[in-house]
Parts: sequence; structure tokens; C-alpha cells
Amino acid sequence: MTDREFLDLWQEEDRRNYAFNLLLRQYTQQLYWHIRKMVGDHDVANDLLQNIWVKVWKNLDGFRGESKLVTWLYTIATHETLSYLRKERLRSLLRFAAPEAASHLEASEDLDGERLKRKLQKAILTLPPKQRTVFVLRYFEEMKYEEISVITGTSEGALKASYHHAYKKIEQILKSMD
Amino acid sequence: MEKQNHHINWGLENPELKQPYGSVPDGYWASLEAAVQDRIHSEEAPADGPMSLWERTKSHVFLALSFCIIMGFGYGVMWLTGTMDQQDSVAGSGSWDLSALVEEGYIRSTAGDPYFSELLEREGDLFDGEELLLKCVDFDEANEMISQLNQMEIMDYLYE
Repeated sequence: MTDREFLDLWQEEDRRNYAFNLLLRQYTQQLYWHIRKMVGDHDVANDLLQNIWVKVWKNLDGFRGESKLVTWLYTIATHETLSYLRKERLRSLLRFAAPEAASHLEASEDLDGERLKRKLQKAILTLPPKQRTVFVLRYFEEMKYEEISVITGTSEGALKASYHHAYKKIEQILKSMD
Repeated sequence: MEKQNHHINWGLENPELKQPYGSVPDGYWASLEAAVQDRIHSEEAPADGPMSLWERTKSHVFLALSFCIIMGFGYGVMWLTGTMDQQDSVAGSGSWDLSALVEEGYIRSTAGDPYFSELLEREGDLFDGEELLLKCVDFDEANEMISQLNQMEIMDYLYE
């Protein structure tokens, strides 16, 4: 379904639910894994994902098609997730403790591939929220800087630098785990 | 024993690393749609914002309106059946059922009262204060007061 097809369907008052469910089915897994990589935990990712879809429902009338629908969805998802991470960081600072995200990670895999992915996930969770966002969007989603710039509201130059730093950090962490 | 991960490619260029890590509970994707719809519907009701003046007063207006309709209906029925004219004539006449009020003890009848009859024969007419005076003091005393005092003075006496 193209953005235009979706928006035409959404404009029809009696077909809104149907249109929304189509959109949800099309993008929910993509958004879920984006959030999950950022927070590391299923329950948190699930809560955030539901909040995000509620926001999408409430704000779809305001979507003017200036960007791609998927970019707009990622913008809402990223802002919602960053907002959660900021609050979580503040909470952990007040508790004088490290954020607990990494401790949620499962540690029962026997396969090397799964161990590797777990180590990468742990490494991602050590990054500051903004760097984490850039890394996840660029590395996993393979988004262009131009698109990430729309989502994060950061200049392309700053994003490139941020990604470079994040990439190096992750590489070092993975090597140290070897 | 040699470590199993000896041959693992730890570099970020390893394509396997781009696959999602972790899993979701069974049936999660199927239930998500319903969960999101529930959230939307539960959040939509309070999200309507503050109630408007009409929403706040609607129930009162309807209550007043139904009262007016009932009153109007009753009035219409009375007007059509002519009951209203009868009511008006009863209300306008001021004719109370005095015998019933006397029987109930709300007022005292002076008819057949020997003191009252004697005084009435002599004086011709009584005013309210004199009648009351007869009820408060004995007949001779009242008779004397009536002959000596004017109406205002009798009223003052009764007041005291």
C-alpha cells in the first residue's frame, strides 16, 4: 500500500479503522525492532509501541505528506523512545545506579550467532541515547543520513560524526569481548 | 579446551549481526492489533477535552423541558375539558368550608355561644378584638372593658 492509497483510505470516515489496521500490520514489526534495539527489553518496547500507535492515530489528520509516511512513523517512534530513555536515565541518576536495560537481555543462547547479537545489543545499550538512535537507524535500518536528519532533527554532518563515534565504540566493545 | 567462539567474526560487517536479537512472546503480533485498538478507544473518551456549556447543562435543560411539557399537557387537558373554569370559580369565590374547619378545631364558632349572643344583642356588632377578649377574660370583665376602652386599647391589652 502506498502512502497516497493509505491517506485516501484514511480520509473516508467509515474506513478509518480498516486503514489504520493496514498501516499497523505493514509497519509494526519494523517499528518494534527499532524500539527494541534502542531499549533492549520486550515489555518496554511493547509499551512504547502501543503509545506510538495511539499517537499515530491521534495525529494522522495532521500528516500532510511532506515526508514519507514511514519516516513520519519513525520520527514519532524515535522521539517517544528517546523521551523514555531520557526519563530512564534521570531515574537511574536519582537512584545513583546504572540504567538497567542491559540486565534485561536474555543470556541463555547456545548458538554463537545469538551470543554475538546479544553482545552487540549490550554494546548498543552503553551508547548515549542520541548516538544509539543514529547507530540503530543507520546500521540496522540502513537509512540515508538525509532521512535520519528528518527523523532526529539533526544536521547530516553531525549525524555522520555521531555514527562514526558510535561505530568505533561498538567495535571496541565487541573486540574487548572476544 | 579451545573456545567455541574462536572462529566467530566479531566485526560489525558480519551480516548476521543485522538480524534482530531476541524474541517476542507467542501470539504477540496477533494480539497487538487488538491491544492497540483497545488503547485507542479507551483514550478517546477522556480525550474529548473539557465539557462544553451545552454538555454540562444538557441534562438540566431536558429536565426543565420535560416538566414544561407535562405542565403544558395538563393545562391543555384542563382547558379542553373545561375543568379550569370550575377551578377558577372555586378559587375566586373564597368560599371555604367553614363547618369542616370548625369541626377540625381550627376555628371556633361563635354561633350559639350565650356570651356572644348577649353581647351581640346589646352592642349590635363585634370586632375581632372584642371577640377575642371574650375568649380571654370572663364575660362581665370583658363587657366592662368593651364599654370603657376603644378598639386600640383593647388590642393593646390583648397583646400584653
